[in-house]
Amino acid sequence: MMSEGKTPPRDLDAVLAAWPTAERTALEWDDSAEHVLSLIGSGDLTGLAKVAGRVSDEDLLRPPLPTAPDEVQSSAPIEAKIEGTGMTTTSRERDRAGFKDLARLANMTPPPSSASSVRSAEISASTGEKDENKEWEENSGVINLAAIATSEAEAQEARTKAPAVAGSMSQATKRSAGNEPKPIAEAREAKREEKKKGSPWVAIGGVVAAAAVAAGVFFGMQHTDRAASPATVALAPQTPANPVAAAQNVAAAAATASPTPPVEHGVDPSSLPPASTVAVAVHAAAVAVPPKPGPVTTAPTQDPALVAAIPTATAVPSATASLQAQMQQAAGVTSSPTPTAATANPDEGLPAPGSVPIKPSQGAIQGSLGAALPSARGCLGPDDPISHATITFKSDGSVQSVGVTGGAAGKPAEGCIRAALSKARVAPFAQPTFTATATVRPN
Amino acid sequence: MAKLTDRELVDRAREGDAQAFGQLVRRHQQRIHRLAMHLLRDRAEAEDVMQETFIRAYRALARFDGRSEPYTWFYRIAINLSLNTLRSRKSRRTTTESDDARLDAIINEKQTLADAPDDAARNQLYEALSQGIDELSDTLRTTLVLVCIDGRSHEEAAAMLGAPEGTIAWRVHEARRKLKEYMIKRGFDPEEMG
Repeated sequence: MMSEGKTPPRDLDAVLAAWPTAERTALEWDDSAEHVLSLIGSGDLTGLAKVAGRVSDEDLLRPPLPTAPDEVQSSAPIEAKIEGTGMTTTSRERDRAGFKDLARLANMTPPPSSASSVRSAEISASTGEKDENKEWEENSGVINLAAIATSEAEAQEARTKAPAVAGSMSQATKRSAGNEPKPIAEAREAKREEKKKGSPWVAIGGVVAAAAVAAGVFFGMQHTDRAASPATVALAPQTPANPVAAAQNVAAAAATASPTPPVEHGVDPSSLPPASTVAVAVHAAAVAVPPKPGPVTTAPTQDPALVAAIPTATAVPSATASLQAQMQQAAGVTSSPTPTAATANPDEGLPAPGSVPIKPSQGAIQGSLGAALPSARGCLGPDDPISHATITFKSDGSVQSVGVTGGAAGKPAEGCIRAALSKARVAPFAQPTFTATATVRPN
Repeated sequence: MAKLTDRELVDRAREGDAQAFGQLVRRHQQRIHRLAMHLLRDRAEAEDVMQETFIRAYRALARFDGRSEPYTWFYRIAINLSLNTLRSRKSRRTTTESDDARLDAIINEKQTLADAPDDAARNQLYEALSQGIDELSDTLRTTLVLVCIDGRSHEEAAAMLGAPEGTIAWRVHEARRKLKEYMIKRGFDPEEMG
């Protein structure tokens, strides 16, 4: 709708596609073509310099507008902000960090829970140490379980070897200083604990974790209900805790992420992974892969959620395994098709709840019609006039109807164009129908 | 010579059949002219570019490797010529609104229709769009003209411009976004502008 009483314009793409062309008569076009041919025939091409100057043929045949370096960089965030996903680059990085941490944690030997007091002593050694990166990590929303586990393990090592070392930074910490956080000052730790207690992020995290757990319970129940799912049925008896129980344990752990202070033993509830990671843990529990005996003993780990998640993730503790494989392990996903994956297939065609956009994005429409238009153009002869097509999509993304106006209307080409454009398909959307227009020009 | 494909015509033209090439010119000259008109906004220059496109294409027929459609090749030459003309023009002159060849058809149509207020609004709309398109960079403008005005698919535009389809999609997205912003500034509601 235009302001100031202007006539409402149509969709921007429709307006652009319907841009009128100054018509010439066929005779005028013919004269123009003859003129070109006469120039070619005469061989007198001196007049060309008026347009192209001294441009060589090679330059003329080069790609006119290839990808510029800045386009490559700038296209990434745009693509990350595709309508409806709500997924930003930052959040992706956080998720990546969360998975990475989970995978790293899965390869570590869990520290004994009694290390916290030693850690306090060790932390007290490095008073007043200011680190911008640590500040960022604390405020980023990414809870680095690996870092916490590492520092606890190192603290225990320091305690057993030389208690006096509490006055200096541990060697292990120094070794891992490249990408693992250093111990921080006690005052800083106290401040952090205080911050965690009073921070609204704890409450928000608790709510998010609870929501994830609820979803996990729901899906877990679904898995349980599916008698046809051989993985769940077969593995359930071997599972130390059934999926629902594991999920409830996670819920219990999440519930403790309230402002109440963390228990001395076990994993700090505030150090639980982000919601997405919790969901992965729940999923891993729901898949119910039995824990295998190995270098990882679950006894020291008090948190039931981690007990459920870590054995699954460390089932193949290969140091040479790729990060992706570790992440897949952590998520309970195997690369080969499994019965569990097979049972998930029926849901693949369905959009996730809440993910259906109100209407298809312009990009989806353009992509869909762009794929169908070449065959529609093939319906027109080289000299046929332009036709306009109105394509109505149903909410499932398929084409409901195609209207054709213009040169092809009422001719055999109309049916051909209809058939060609009917093959277009977009992702499902919420509103009942969505209409798009396209201009069909001959090739 | 009816219903020969473009490739067949190119093959014949390579063998010296000037009429075959004439057929190619007749098939594609309207769209090449339209493209040049949108890129150059000048009737005379667009005419020159159209003619030179086919002449240069004829001269370079031997270089046509057949990996793409001949019209892709014509488009590429026309775009290169147009951009070259624009670059050389920038130091020479500027285009005035009344000189915009893109609005010729709209003005002509307006004179033939009875509903004057609607025509005025339509004219305003296309004037604003023309100016909004002029604000875009050559890259975004060319891509927008190819995809949104000329109706070429991303794949075709990618072949013509020598950029990946993803880049074409981004350019179209960016051009539409900027054009929308411009139209909002001009008082057009974005909800109705796609």
